[in-house]
Amino acid sequence: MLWFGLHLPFLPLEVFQRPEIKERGLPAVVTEAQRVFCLNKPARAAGIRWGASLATARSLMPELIHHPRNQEAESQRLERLVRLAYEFTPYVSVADFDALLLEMEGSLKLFGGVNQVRARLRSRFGRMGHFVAIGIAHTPRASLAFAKNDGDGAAWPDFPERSEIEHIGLQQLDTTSLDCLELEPKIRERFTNMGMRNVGDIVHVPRHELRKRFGEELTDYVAQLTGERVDPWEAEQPPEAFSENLHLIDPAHGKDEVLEPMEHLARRLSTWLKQLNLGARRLRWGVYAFEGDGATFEVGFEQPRHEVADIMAITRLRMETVDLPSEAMTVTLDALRTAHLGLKWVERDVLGRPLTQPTPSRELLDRLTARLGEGALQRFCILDDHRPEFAWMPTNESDAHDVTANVPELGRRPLWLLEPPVWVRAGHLHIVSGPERIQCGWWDHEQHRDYFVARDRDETWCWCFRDAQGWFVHGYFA
Amino acid sequence: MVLATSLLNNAGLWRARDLNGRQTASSDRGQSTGFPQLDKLLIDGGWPRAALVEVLCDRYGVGELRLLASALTRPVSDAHWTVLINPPCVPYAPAFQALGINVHELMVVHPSSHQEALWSFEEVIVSGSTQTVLAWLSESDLQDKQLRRIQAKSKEHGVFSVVFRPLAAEQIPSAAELRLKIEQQTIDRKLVISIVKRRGGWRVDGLELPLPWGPTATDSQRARQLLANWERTRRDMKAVAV
Repeated sequence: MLWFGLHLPFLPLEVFQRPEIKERGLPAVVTEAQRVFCLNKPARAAGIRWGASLATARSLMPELIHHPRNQEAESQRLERLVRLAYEFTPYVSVADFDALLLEMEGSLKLFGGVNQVRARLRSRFGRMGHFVAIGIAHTPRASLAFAKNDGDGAAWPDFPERSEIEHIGLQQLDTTSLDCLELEPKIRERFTNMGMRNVGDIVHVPRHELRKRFGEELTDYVAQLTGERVDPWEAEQPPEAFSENLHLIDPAHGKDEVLEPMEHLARRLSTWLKQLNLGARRLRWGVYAFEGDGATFEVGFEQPRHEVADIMAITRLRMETVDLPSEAMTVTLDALRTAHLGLKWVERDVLGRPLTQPTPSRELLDRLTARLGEGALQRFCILDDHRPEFAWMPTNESDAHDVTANVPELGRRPLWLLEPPVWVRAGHLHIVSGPERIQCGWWDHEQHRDYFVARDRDETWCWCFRDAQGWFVHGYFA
Repeated sequence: MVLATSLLNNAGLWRARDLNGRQTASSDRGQSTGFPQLDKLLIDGGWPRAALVEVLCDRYGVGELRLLASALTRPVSDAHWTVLINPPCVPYAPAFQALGINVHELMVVHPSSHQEALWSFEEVIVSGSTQTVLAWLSESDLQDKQLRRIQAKSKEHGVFSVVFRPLAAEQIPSAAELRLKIEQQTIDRKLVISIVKRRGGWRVDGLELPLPWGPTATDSQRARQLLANWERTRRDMKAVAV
């Protein structure tokens, strides 16, 4: 097992900051019960310490930015980070309000080794505005301890062997400060008094001695730290439906400005789809103004799609025919229909392009539907029925079943059909051949018709029939 | 000499002696129209592979689709869709299947305006999913520059595009590479057409093309007889009922 412990020391503060705004240089703190709970580096440099009262902190630095802690926002953000982490491995656990655990052994090859994963994780989290400290170890608890030690610490080979993982992990434990462990303050103090500073100092104490002096709980914890004892973590499951919204801080005017938050949502959707190996078939967008109604519109895909670019290309076309509120404050996105992609989606060619590119015809169908609307496209399938009205059917399914039994002899049926048949005066028709009786369908819409081929006054060859109501033209031999 | 050869290979040029029939070396490039007389008159030896073709006719059902049948049933390739934009009637699927077109690959587009029709026309051409597009455009909104654009796009993307226009459009110059006028279909199933415009040649009038299939008038006497009998019986029945 290879565990990545992810510690986000500034998460309580980062939920108040938007990644695009560079307010990081300014001293800022988050307070809980009027005491400093989380602080950034400039604040620390000003002499503010964890647990100080807000009044003290402000006396040290009057222009200090401070927010009361928002636990709900933190847990929401952590949930999104869990989803982000799913891109790397299916085994993601929430270790603490500011820490995640990822088991990476299985996906190392896919992402090109330990150091690649570490760099990628850092950049993905960084793009969302989060500083992340990453600890790597052979046990979950050790990886969390390394993460809190601020240390990306030891140098790792890209594809370590199992024994190697354990070796590096244990070695690093020896030099890790006891401050990084999850210890009760009282026990922590006793260790300090005994002159123990590093994890190595307690790991090498015989276990029965440790048990006698510090009790069962700590001994188990140490055993889990070193890997002598298994330490099961429950993996988070990705949510089963996608329905997200984005509240904008500044209203978006016009379609171009709305596209930006929409793309942001599409990116989240794409992440979710990739985790579950799904593709979107139908999406519903909603754009709402601050007050009053908004606009919703749906976008369909012939082929399940999960790439942001594909989703946005069709969405953009669809938007051309939609009226949006002039000032949009909220954008929503729901995945109404999804389909499994199979296993192929990660297959890439030598240039890194996905191998399952959508076939052009489906792309065309999507584009036409998005711009012209659902009803504007018509495709057909043949049914096994002799009545002309029932021998075919408009369809939207690209893989409709095929009835080849009912293919008439070439030239016996007209290429153009009039739907419904048009009544004509008998005198306008000059009968050329016939009749052919079509009598069928006693179970529904029973028909008794005698079909003739005739030439009308324009000398057009038409297919017409006579029934109780008179003469009708039903098609043209085009 | 080198220059002369390269000039002869230029598809846009032709020799005066090749007029009216004799084809240049490029004769193998087109898909046969299925009508030898017509093939002989076309510089490509058949339908041009990538071009805009205009078919002028005032009525539907004079045989316009049978004229184009060989282009509709081209050999299968990746670009397999046959697209009809704004057709005047419903394409009767079983008959199209009989013609050799897979109806699953037949698509009808119903645009709600002329602009949408042109937009979808172009989308279809550039999509790379189709070899053949047939379009019925609104004549009053149609402009020469729009046809010119379709012709250029068809050429660039290797698509055989057909636009159907009324006979009156004959007098209007057009960018289409080939313009055919359907005069009429005779009782013995011959299509009378004129070539209004073609590459590498002058106008040709009164060309009679025998349609290879379709309804025949061979048993018309018998049909009329049967109908008359039937009408008489019906009248008699009514009289009895009264």
